[in-house]
Amino acid sequence: MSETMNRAEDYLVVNHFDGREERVAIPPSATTPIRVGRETDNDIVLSDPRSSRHHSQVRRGAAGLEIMDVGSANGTFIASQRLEPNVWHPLTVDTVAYLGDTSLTFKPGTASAPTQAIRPVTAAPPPRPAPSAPAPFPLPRAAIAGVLAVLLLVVVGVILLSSRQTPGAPTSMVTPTRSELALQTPGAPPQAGTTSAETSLVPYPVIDLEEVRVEPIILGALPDPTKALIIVRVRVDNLGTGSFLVSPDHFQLLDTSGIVLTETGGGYSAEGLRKLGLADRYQNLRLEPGDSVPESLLFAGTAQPYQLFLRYQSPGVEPITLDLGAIDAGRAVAQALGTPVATEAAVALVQTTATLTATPTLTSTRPPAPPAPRTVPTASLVGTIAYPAFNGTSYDLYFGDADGSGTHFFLADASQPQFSFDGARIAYHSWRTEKRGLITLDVGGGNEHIIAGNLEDQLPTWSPDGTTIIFLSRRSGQRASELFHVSSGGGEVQLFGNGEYPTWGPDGRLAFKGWESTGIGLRLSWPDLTEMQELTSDDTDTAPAFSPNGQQIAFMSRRDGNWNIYVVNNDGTGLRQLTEDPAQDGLPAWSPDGRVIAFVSNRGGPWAVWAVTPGGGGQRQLFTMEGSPDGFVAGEDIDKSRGWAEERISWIR
Amino acid sequence: MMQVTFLYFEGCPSHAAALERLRQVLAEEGVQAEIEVIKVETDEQAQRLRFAGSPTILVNGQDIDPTPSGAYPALTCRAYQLEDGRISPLPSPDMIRRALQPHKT
Repeated sequence: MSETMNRAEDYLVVNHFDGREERVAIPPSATTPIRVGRETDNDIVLSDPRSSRHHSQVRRGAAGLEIMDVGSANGTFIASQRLEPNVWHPLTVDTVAYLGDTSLTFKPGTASAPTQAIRPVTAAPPPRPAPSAPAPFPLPRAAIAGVLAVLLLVVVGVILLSSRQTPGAPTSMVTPTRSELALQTPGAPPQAGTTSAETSLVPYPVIDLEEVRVEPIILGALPDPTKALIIVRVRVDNLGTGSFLVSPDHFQLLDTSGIVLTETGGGYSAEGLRKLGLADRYQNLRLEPGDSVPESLLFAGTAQPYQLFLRYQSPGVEPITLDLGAIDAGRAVAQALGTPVATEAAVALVQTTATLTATPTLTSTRPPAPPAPRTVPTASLVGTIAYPAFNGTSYDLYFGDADGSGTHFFLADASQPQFSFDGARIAYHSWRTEKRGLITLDVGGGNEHIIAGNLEDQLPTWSPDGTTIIFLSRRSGQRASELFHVSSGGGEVQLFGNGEYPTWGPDGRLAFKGWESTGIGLRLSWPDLTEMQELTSDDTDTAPAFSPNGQQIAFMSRRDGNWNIYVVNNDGTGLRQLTEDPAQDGLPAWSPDGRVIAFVSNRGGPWAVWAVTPGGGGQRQLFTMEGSPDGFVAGEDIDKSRGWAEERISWIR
Repeated sequence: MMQVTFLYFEGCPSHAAALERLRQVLAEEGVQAEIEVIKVETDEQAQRLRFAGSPTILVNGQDIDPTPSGAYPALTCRAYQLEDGRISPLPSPDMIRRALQPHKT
């Protein structure tokens, strides 16, 4: 708390959507409402795009503090309930009010003390708010939209056919429908009228059907015309407040004739599944509130007509059933194998009846306003994330689309990518024997320079102006961890101090992991190591990544015994843990707009790039990686190859 | 007839998909052109051909996405900035299409 804070005053804690925290004093005489919103004429100005220009007002009423929504688009919520607009509601001590992705919490002062000004009193964010206080999510509208979307599907009965061809095994796309309808059987959790306390740990799965297709089964070179593979791809979201497990064997296909098809992907090799386009296979992944993950499912059955339902049953969660409609796997296989089929088969492989297995009564199948954590803004998921993937003997460099739409193999025998600040160039570590060391390259081609030629040279990082590269090397005879700088076009390499995992920030300062003379934990200094300050003090803290404005630094740490993602302010305050998953989370990289932090994780099995807000909410998977970021290059010792602890991902728009 | 040259370096995995994409766009545009495929194998060859990186597509000798002047040719890979800002090892079909337009008769 800054010196200007009068501890006696009541105050509001404002948790901004980007993770910043601000404290605003409430004078005892504040009978004039305090205005909150995005316009600069408000007393508390928000930058949250989900807040309205004039969103809410807070005042001292006769019985205490009160809050009123002034007709905002996304509403003001307390305890999951949307406040009636233009009506004053009590705001009691420690009650959290949500405005878009921003929260206000009323905190009492130690005593009354007269003051006339409403002013921000804290510049440095304190620790992350408790994860049990998520922001509201206007689900009823989303749910209604989802139901309407499906009903529209019923009416339109859209049937799309695709003719994906694979050598010797043409594929029939049966139904690429997408629906955000989760039909829950009666008795599903949370009931209407349930108190917020009772719903505080309620898991709430929503299954989003992304694709259903049928393929023939090929045994050796021979297809089996009597059998069919039914491939279903779904996305599972947790809109609740408690976690649940997701695993392929939680899914079944049920036919109205009584046939039950169990998930059989577990009997296939990883390579076999990948060839079928089933890379997203998460086993017993604990989906935390706000998380979202794709799941690829494989079922084998007789090539015949079905009337199918997809059933999802996870421990502790009520079953969910989705109607897949009529799927004629016999015709689909025949068509895929080139067997003549009736003309109408071309448009009638699937009849998307989309009838409901249970009437979706919103009040009984969904919480009326289920609380949900802050979500990753979709608008922030733009640009490209460069990442390394280990291929068994060496690393390859890939470009992944941040919106999850694709991932592309860019360069073999390369890793530790970092884009220059302007995105025009990329630096990376080359593992090729004929071109080993650190390389800079124009993304558009050419201008390639080998700037450091030892295999021990690691983790190049760009200066803000793109002229200089700093890197870690253990090239000395003592294998000391040392920091060097060199022109990005190549030239003389100069040692300037001890340290590991350097990352250059937008203000010209360097964050790095201390080593010997530079101490233990993360450090921040100018590139000549002057004005060095301690950011953290744990020896496992590493992989620092600056937010675009340089104010915050994300990093990975094993300080709690497991690798997780943390954020700290650039003055060493405001340390907060963003992920708490038992899997390995690491290698953070900020989105270009600073609203999302990407990281790699093996939660559920496959390594993937995930995203989380700087406030720790809305964790979701962006795309599956083409390999692990954690590998040891064949034939190289630990001074040259330390696995993912010395890898990097880089995000550029 | 339009001269189309496709230069690639074996170490960059995107070349096969890029060549297929080039052929597809040429067919869609109804362009009659023979594609000269050149495998660049040495730095000397890269220098001589002013090879900006793999894959590189030249239409009547002009790069479909010219690199900044002064770029150093090398035996390396290149990426393309797509219309939506993403970076890809493959040029987009529209990028190829736009490069063909001035040369169509």
